[in-house]
Amino acid sequence: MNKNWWLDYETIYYSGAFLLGLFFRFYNLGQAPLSDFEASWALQALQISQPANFPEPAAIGPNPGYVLLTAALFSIFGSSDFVARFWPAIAGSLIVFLPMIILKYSGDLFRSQTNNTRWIGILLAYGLAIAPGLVTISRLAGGPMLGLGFCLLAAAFWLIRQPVLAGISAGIAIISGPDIWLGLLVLGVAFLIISLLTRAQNRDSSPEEATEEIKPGLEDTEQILPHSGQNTRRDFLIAFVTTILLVVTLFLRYPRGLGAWFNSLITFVNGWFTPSGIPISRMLSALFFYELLAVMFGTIMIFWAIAQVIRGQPTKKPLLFLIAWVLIGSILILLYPGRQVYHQIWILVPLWALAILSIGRLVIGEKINPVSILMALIILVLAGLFWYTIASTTRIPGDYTNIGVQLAVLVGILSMGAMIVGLISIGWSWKTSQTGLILGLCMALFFYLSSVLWSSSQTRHNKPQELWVTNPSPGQERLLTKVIGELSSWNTGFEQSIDITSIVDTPSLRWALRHFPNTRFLTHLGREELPSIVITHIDDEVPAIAASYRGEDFQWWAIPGWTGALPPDVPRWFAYREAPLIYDKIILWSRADLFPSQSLSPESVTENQEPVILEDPLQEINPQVEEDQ
Amino acid sequence: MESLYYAAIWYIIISLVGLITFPLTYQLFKILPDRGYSISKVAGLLLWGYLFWILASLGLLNNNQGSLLLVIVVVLGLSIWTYLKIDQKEIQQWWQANRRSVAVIEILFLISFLFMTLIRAANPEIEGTEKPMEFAFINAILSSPNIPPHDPWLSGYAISYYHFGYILVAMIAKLANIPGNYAFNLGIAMIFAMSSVGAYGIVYNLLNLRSKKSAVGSRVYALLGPLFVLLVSNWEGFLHSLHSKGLFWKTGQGGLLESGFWNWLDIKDLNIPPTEPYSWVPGNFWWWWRASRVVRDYDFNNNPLEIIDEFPFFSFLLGDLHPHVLAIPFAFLVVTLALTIFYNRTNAPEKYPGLRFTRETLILILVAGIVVGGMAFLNTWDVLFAGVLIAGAYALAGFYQQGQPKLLSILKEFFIAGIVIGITGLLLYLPFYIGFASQAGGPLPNLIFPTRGAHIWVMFGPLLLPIWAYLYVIGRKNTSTSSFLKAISIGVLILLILWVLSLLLGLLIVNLPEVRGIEVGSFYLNFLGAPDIAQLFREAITRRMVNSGGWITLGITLVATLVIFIKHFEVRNGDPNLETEFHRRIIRRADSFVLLLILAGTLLLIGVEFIYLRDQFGWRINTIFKFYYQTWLIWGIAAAYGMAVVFKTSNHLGTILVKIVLVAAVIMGLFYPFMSLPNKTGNFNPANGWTLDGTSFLENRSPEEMEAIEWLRNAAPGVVAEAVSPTGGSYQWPPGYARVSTLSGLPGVLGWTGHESQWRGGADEMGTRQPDLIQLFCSRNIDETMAIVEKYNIRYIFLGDLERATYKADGTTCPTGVVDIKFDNAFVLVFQNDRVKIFEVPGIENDYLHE
Repeated sequence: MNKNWWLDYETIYYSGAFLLGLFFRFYNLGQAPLSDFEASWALQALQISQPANFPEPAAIGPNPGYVLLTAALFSIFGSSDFVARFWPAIAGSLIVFLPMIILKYSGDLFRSQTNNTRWIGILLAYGLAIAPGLVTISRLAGGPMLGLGFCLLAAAFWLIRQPVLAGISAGIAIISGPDIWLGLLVLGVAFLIISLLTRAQNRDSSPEEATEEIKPGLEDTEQILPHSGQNTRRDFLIAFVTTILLVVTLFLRYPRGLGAWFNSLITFVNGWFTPSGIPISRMLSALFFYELLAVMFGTIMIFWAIAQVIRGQPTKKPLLFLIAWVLIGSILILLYPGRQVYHQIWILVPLWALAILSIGRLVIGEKINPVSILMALIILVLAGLFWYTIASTTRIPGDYTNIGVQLAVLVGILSMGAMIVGLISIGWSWKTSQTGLILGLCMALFFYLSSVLWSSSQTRHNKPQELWVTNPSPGQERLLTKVIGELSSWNTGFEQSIDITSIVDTPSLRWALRHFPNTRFLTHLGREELPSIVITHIDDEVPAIAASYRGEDFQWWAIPGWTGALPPDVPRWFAYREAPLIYDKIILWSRADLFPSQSLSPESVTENQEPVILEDPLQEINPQVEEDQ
Repeated sequence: MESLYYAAIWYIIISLVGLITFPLTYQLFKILPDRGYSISKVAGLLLWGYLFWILASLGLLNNNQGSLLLVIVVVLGLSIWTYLKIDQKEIQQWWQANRRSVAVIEILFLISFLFMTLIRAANPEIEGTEKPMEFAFINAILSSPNIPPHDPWLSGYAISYYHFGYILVAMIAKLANIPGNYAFNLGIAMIFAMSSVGAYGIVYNLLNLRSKKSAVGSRVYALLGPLFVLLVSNWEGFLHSLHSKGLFWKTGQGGLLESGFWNWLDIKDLNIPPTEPYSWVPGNFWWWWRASRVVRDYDFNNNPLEIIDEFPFFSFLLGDLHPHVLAIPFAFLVVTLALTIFYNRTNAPEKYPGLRFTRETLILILVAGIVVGGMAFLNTWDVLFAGVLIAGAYALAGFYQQGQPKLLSILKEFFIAGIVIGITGLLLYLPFYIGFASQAGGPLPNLIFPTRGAHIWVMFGPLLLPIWAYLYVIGRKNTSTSSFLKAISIGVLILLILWVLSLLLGLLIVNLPEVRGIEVGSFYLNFLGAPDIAQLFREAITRRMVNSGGWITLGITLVATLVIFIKHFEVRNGDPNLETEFHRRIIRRADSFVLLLILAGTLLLIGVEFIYLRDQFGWRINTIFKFYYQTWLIWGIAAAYGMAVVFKTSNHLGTILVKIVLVAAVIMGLFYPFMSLPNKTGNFNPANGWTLDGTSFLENRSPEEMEAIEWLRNAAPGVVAEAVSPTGGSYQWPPGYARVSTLSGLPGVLGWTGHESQWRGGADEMGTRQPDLIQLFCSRNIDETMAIVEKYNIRYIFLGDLERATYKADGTTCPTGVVDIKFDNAFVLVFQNDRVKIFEVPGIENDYLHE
């Protein structure tokens, strides 16, 4: 296999990973309506992109990178859920290229540029393309993916001495919002610790060893990459500062973005004093249940590397850095009172790298015995059985009639797996057995991961029960806008001209009604006002004018009731992603005279009639409208 | 605990600001021994504040934490860039030589900060005087999304007042999330500490520049700076003590106590007999207040007119965060800058007659513009003093630089420098002036208010004595008959010209034609109580002669200063290349600068003897207040320096006696702080416990109102309507008029009307708000009420005890009092407790986005 041939195929593999990443990040990207979290940022972008439509000058929060870049897109393509999520999705997709940039273009920076390393790089690219956490957050408007993606790209470009690209990426990353500071803190502390360790190691070992260990192949890199240190720093700084100034001010059109940028730091600092209320158990569950493959093999790698260090075996600095990154990142994120589940994406990349390294160490490069493959298939079948048993246990909520038998089956499956491992070890070798086990587990976890990915990333369903979801999308947003649009068409001849007064004021509702220019958001309805449509919360008092209106309720929020969950709910959630939900509704009050054959008489305004509320409009119009969109 | 935490955060932030700025001051004040370290916190705060304010005023930044942090980073970047340009070896050498001075400055700052923090914690209440106004400004700035901040007492308008100081305090509070009720007291502590090290730094630099022989001595003597400026007080405290002890009183006819001395002294409260039991410690309520009202003016008919003559310790004791207090450390920045300009120019290798447009000159003009313009924004009254001092220092340096100094060329330079700096300052702070209306209405002649010598001495005695001693020490061998005669001639000429000018101005005003329907001449005469111009002039001349002690005292100071200047001038003219041995030893450049300070202070005091600035009061209450304050600051520096020089001179009988007198003068000046502090702080046993929360006392006095206001603080922003006093409402606190807007920071429809009128030079902006608010609360007609709500864009209507008391049924303007049912029907009740209801106007659109 000559080098050029390999290069072609390597590029193809990476491209495949990128396409896969693109698919999972962009498929049905605009399907779920924006949640309150997403809409709060998207609305700011909208205000900046359409200043003429808003009375007040735009004031943006601590997420200027996303807001201003998205505002630019809104100006060109108009505002939509898809466009609102575009930048995080593209940043998340670009992460897939990280292994390629570092391993393929850095020359011999990491010394062991063997076929194994190449395969590890390719596998890592595929891992990053389908990691559920990364995919989910890549589809989150205003989330931290912009920061993570460009921060890592900056580091990668820096390693391969592309200072301009590194500066641009770093510039975008640094203005991406409060979470970048947490990421930089994690990286900074990890780097500091590794530097201190290396320095200590340097003192203890001979100069030759130390140099070899600390700066692997740097001399080769210097030959390949011609930039001198000073020029590199200068070019980086120029690109970095220029990018910040241009992007954060939207090409000098919005200088207040500079202040918003520093608000991100303030928000991050305030996070140390303002608990978010996210329990550590949820953080750990999100990591374990969604990134099981990475957690399992990453942990094995960490223990292996630590054992190597304890035994005094040489351990590469990049590997130690990855381990420090994961461990310190986990600790800092869990300690951070303002933590969110999505903060954990800052440790997913190194965790996946460790996991792939672990798999590579155990499997790749070895000649695989057919027995191992057979064993892997058996393990896969057993894993399938295991999952099926759990699923059947919880299929009918509250039905525990066969629980004893099902538990016995689970124990039996595990015992059978253990027996197979033991027998293969005895009959062939431990290596054969280990390879089979790892291959089997990898395949099983891959299927599990695919399943998790499909639902967690909201590509198919709008599932509030997913742990990585910051807050759920509005349940019947599409239906609400459809009903309002129809009312508007009937009465004004235009789909968006009807006057709406909303007493409910949430970002997601503002976003949903952004195309209705005659919408007002009030705290209280004005005296003697009779707007065509009034939106209230289900718990609000029925408006005094209700007698003249017809009301329809819409499910808007569905929040998982984790605190009310019982132990049997856990396997059910594991198998079906079902959990107790708390629903919250809004009511759309349509003035009676908007409907054919109804008129608004003075009497109807003053008479104290009981309001008419149509329960569950879904049943009337399209029972599956939200599910199938 | 909260107080401690906030104090620590505040201290850390201001220390960091100083540290960040130090490389800049190092370069700018390179000529000074401390390289501007002592003033770096002040300079940093000013630079940070200016950049933030100007960028926010131009719409480039919002008023939020991110913007504040951004500007700090910009200053940091500038500082790092400057630092990299400095020769590192030079910095190391400087550090080695000055690290003890740095340590002393930091220790002094910390002690001063802790000292004032403790005093504030012992009496933190934001009540009385104009504290509610200051508090309202801070809260309004904290809650305003943009700059300029909204006027808390006149919705729809921005603050029309020199409010830069409040922005500076609010900046730190906003950055650190410190509530306004803590920021108010911590702001005072910070200003005190910055003033302390500012004064210390100037005296330290001057002493070091004078003689580098004893750095240790300079470090110790420089402590006289903060002592004289901030602790030493006027002698009223000492006199009050004597009075309280019953000294100089004797029983007269009818068994009544009589005293020729106290009657002659004519200080309010001290001219009436003391009450038993007699004690060295005055015990009457707020007795220390009297020290700020020493000077007394009388109109033509001998009716007393209140005059304010505060001095720094009084201000800090009162705990009033007024602009004149906020400006103190920045005044020291002005002095430091003037000193630097003076030394820079005298050190220049080549001789040049005037301004040249080199890079250094431009930087200096820019800095001077920021500083002098900043003084105008901090406390507009100080701009004259700041501009004159810097231009004076520049011109005085020309005196040293020119081979053959010419008085006319020095004067020309003085005016050119003043105009250039003035215009730069104006341009740099243009957004402030665009929206600023002032009550100042031009100069008025001071015809019948000559200050009595006794009052001048009670007020400035502790500073005048060291200054006179210093003038004597450096001038005793440095005068000649010719210089003496010239000085007397010039001094008398200045006094005469000013007097004649004031008389002419009086004549002009009396004969002015009608202006805006007002007979100005008659109005002026009526105001003074004079029947006609002839009698007014007669009274003016009589009073000037009878009360001659004041201008004679000031005249002597003026002449004594001029004598030394003139002698120096003569020597320079006679031998341009060589100063006499005497001058090299005694009249150093530092001395020249101190003489400039003395001269500036003297001219300020002489100025108000003949001219004052017209304001809404009509007499010189504010002119005396502000000009005396400025004089105290620069004379305080001069007195500290002078005392150090006197104490460094060799001991012989004469100087020993002088030193004893000076120590006695200082002790008399320290009576006031020692005795007033226990009185003000309840013997350091605060009624509401130790806290820096300026509104904690209100929690006990009106918990329901505080609960309602707390609700408003967290509600969506909007204009609030509350009761307005029919008589203006000023000073009626707590909880008085404008309480809701003051405590919440929300814009109120109308607050203290008297103050609004002062700030805006009239009542035009207030329009019909007062009657409209009566209508809002009293009208039974919902449509009328709604019209007012719409007119002022009112969102909340606050209905508490004060509203019900103010708008009670009187059968005329408010026939039936506040009608609850109208509010219940027309508005939405959003908050209610036992005493307060808050209504929200329905139909108001929410803000599109909150950050």
